[in-house]
Amino acid sequence: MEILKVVHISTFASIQDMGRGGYKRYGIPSSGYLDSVAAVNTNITCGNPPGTALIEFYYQSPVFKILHPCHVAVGGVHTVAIVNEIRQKSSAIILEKDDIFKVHLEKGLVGYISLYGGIKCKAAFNSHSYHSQIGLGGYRLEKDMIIVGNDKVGNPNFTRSKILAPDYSNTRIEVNGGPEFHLLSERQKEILLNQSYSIRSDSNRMSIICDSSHWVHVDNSMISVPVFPGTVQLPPSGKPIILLQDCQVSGGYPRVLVIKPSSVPVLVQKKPGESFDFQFKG
Amino acid sequence: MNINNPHITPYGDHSILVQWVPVMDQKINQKIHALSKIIRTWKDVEDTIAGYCELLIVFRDQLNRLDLLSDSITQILEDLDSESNLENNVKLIEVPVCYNSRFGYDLDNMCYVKGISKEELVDFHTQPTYHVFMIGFLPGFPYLGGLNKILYQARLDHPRPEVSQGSVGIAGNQTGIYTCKSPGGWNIIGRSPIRFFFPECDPPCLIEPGDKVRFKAIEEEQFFEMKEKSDHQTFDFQTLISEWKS
Repeated sequence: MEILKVVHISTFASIQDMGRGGYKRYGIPSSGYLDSVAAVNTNITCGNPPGTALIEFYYQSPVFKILHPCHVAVGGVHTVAIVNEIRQKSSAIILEKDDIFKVHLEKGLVGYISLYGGIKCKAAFNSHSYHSQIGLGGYRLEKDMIIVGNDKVGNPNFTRSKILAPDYSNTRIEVNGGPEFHLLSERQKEILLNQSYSIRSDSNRMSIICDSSHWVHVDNSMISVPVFPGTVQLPPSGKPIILLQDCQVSGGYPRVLVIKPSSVPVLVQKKPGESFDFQFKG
Repeated sequence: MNINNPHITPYGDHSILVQWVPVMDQKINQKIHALSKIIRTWKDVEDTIAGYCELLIVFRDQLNRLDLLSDSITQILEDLDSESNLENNVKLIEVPVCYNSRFGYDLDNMCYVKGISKEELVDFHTQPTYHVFMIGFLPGFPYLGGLNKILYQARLDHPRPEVSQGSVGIAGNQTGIYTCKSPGGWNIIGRSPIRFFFPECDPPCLIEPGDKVRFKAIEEEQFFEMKEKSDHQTFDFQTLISEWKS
């Protein structure tokens, strides 16, 4: 059933779910929700199962025209649904035909829109998550595109309780040492772990690129090794690269740190220019 | 380091990394792929990613008892020794490649730098049987080892924004195939007309880790004939595959 039409879009938005596991040996990245806590909670608010495919957007929400009455929920760090220019009090709302709907991110970088019953789109390797470079799975939202929902009857199920949200204002990102951490000298470790970093604007779903005042240069003559989201690589530039959900399965830079899964939602919600530092957990 | 006693270390909360000495060694790599096949049958393992000299094992849940895990891995590696041949059930894939300057953006430059003719370069590239050390970078992208030393060439200083699907390239001592269109910094010497990655199939890749690959030179006319068939899914890929015998 045709539910929403994209009438305006300015930043990257795509369909995501829990991502695909089990195919990395073929070079297929996992993809999936950047902030899995906010995404799952948005689905729960909507009455959907936690891993339902939904719309994930960066910076600014697309603007939709409603083609068929529907039930949606919005989520992120702090989001407000706006219907026909009116701010809504609830994050779970019922939309009527011809309503104009968008979301405002009061805080945070990544927002979610869950449609009751889920979104109909193609799956690849057991997941609807769209990969931003390869184009696998779901799709990227574009102007005039029509979002098709699964036909779903009955009322939303609100019985599930939400996951406890992390403290998004926290600027300390918890990390463990990565496989090449031991290659660093004591002085390099001290610099890496004690300075603060800011997020660069060329970050995307593949990686966050960091800026800092001191660079740590390490020998980069490595042969390709396996990596996964959350790994912090140190390329010859000395600017750490933090791999995210759409990252490749292998890389050739030293893997110096690994972000604790509980800190990933906090990190991905930081906007370009915002700062953070690493808290070493061993 | 004993080949059966790799270094085992946690990597994040859900994974362990099994590491051998960081070199391109075919024997170690074959063992890694054999180990990987066995470990993937474990119920609590979500995925494995093999590198040249590492195996990443991703578990479904948080890790405990690393010591028990190390013991079982060592045991599997020792059992693999007693099996007759690690190269049993390995496929040999013959990859058709059109080597010319139209498809091989860096072919002329490679010949110039090496001081060899185009024909010599093609001979050097088609003679070896390559070992698929790993799949990575792009879905299905095979990292092939066994390149003739004469053809070793460092990556481009500035990666190209777009390299066509099927492009065959050289980076350092490796050669590989761009299974999808992508930005890339490898020296491109030719292009294969066939598809290597099939998102709708399981397994989705024509070439798998541990397989063997040989390149076969074809003319532009054959390239377009084969490409037409490959694009319309009437190409019989089985004609490229045989059983590998060492």
